[in-house]
Amino acid sequence: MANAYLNGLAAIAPELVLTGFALAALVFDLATKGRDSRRVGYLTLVGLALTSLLLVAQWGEPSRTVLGMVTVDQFGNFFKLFTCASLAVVVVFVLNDRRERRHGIGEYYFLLLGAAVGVFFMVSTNNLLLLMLGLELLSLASYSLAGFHKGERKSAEAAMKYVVFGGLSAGIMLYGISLLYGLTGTIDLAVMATGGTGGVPAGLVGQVSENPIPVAVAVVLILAGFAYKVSLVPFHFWTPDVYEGAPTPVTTFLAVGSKAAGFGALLRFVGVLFVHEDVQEAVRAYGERVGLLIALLAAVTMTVGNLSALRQKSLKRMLAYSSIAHAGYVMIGVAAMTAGGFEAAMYYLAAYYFMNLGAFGFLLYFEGVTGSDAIESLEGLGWRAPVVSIAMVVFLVSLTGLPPTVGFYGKYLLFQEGIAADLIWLVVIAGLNSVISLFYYFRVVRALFLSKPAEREAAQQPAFVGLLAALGVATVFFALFTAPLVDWARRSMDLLSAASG
Amino acid sequence: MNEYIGIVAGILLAGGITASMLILSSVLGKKNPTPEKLEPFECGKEPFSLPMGKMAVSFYLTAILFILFDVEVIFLYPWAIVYRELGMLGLVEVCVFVGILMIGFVYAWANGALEWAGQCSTGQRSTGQPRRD
Repeated sequence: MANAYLNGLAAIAPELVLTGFALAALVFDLATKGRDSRRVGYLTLVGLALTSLLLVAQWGEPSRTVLGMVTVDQFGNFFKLFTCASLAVVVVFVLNDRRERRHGIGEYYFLLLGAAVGVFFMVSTNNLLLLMLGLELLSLASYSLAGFHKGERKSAEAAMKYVVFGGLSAGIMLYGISLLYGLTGTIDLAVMATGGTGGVPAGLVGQVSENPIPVAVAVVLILAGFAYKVSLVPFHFWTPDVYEGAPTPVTTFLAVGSKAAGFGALLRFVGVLFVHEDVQEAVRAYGERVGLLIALLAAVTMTVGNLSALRQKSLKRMLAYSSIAHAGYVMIGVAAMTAGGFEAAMYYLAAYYFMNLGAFGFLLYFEGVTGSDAIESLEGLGWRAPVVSIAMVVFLVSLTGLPPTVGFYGKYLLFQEGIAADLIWLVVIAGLNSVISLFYYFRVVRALFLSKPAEREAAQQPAFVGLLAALGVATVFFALFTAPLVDWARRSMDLLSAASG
Repeated sequence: MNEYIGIVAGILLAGGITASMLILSSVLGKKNPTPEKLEPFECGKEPFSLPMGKMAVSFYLTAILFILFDVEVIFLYPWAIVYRELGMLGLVEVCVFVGILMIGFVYAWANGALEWAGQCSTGQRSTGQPRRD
């Protein structure tokens, strides 16, 4: 028994190392009495690098469940590696945030790492209880991060709104989980989906025909919890205010790391429950009806997100609404309820990492220069900081979904899978939305380049500028060479084929 | 039915003693009422105050810290019961668990969360109402 236990611990080594470094960051900050928090930042980067190495070492290992609830598989690995990468970028953002203090912000890194631990457990479990715990860990860290600038009104408001919305939706989701548990007698998704044989209680298969209404209520409530996390309409109201009030690096993490984690958990929930190849036929048919609901949510989300983004004067709010719209696009892949659809969604999430990290990095850079997040204040700055601005144009082209960028190829894959799953109406709506998004994304380009050069000097931050340029190059590179990311997404589909248990 | 007789006896005994104490003290005791004595008694706190009063934020901090270490003890109980079965591994696990909590404790301490000084020590009295002495 002890041996199995130690093997289990070895399998979750990345999580353990991450936890260790989170604590180390806190202790280190305490020991140095908060002097020069940059060193805590470097420690965080080392921890993330080490965790990534351990994750890479798990590359290609077969899917298995350890310690009774943690599923270590390639699907989780995909999200964990991207979380590490995006968090490293966020840490570099914090280190380069010209409006952030240099001292006494060691907790910043501790909270970021704590959120990452939450993400790790959230994307690698079939157990609804552990899923909820991971989600709460992520949420609690995010609440405090959003309110990190205690003295600022907007930051405090962001934290407050986030807590209230988060608490409510966590409650809703838990209620859904408890209903599902009551109906099936298990909190393990795999058992729920395949149950009904071998002494296992009825599972979902009997319940979908006998108790259709409670099952529907449970599924809708749980989906509502996820919808809050990835900010789907109508659970998106917190997004713009929280994104605007939180410190920009935190906004980056919320928009990229936290949202992708929400999608990771959602894909696992929907995938293991409805799409897995061992799933019983009745449950699979039920899943297709759930897919229709998700498609509806996706259509509303992208439309509302894009139309609201049109009117924004603040770049930060605009990016917040754009991230809502993008959640809608990703949902096309989820709604398809096929392995191909999930692959497309994951490819798009990877693309989303590159372009949104870049766009928020640009925002941070210019907040440091102009002290404002208004689009107007960008006028003419494109000529002053050409590298960053050209990178931003690449990100915006990618967000719009025009070639030759990852955003284009991601949308292409999503649309293809959407059509294959008979969701042509949804693809048409998504296409129209892309056209709408062109207007607001290119307002930024116009402000940057189509006005006379500004007086103001740009900031000299070579490391930061280099990082943004690298993200810009990656945005184009992975569109020209799509194979690595597509292969990786396909490899991650062991989610749908691995033996349960 | 027999196994419930003890419970019934307990209820009667407890009720009887309480009732007799109340009755005896109201019959035999001296009566010298002051306004203070007529107030409902609740650990020295004023029982009624207007809701606009401010509450010192240190109360919440203390409450949070209390819950944290309360939960720690709750976790230690089941471990203590199966201590022998878990053996060395369990001991290490619990040490890790307590160690993590200790880091939190040291953090709270170092940041002055345990100090009451400098705060408004009588939060519930800051409504400006004079005490009724």
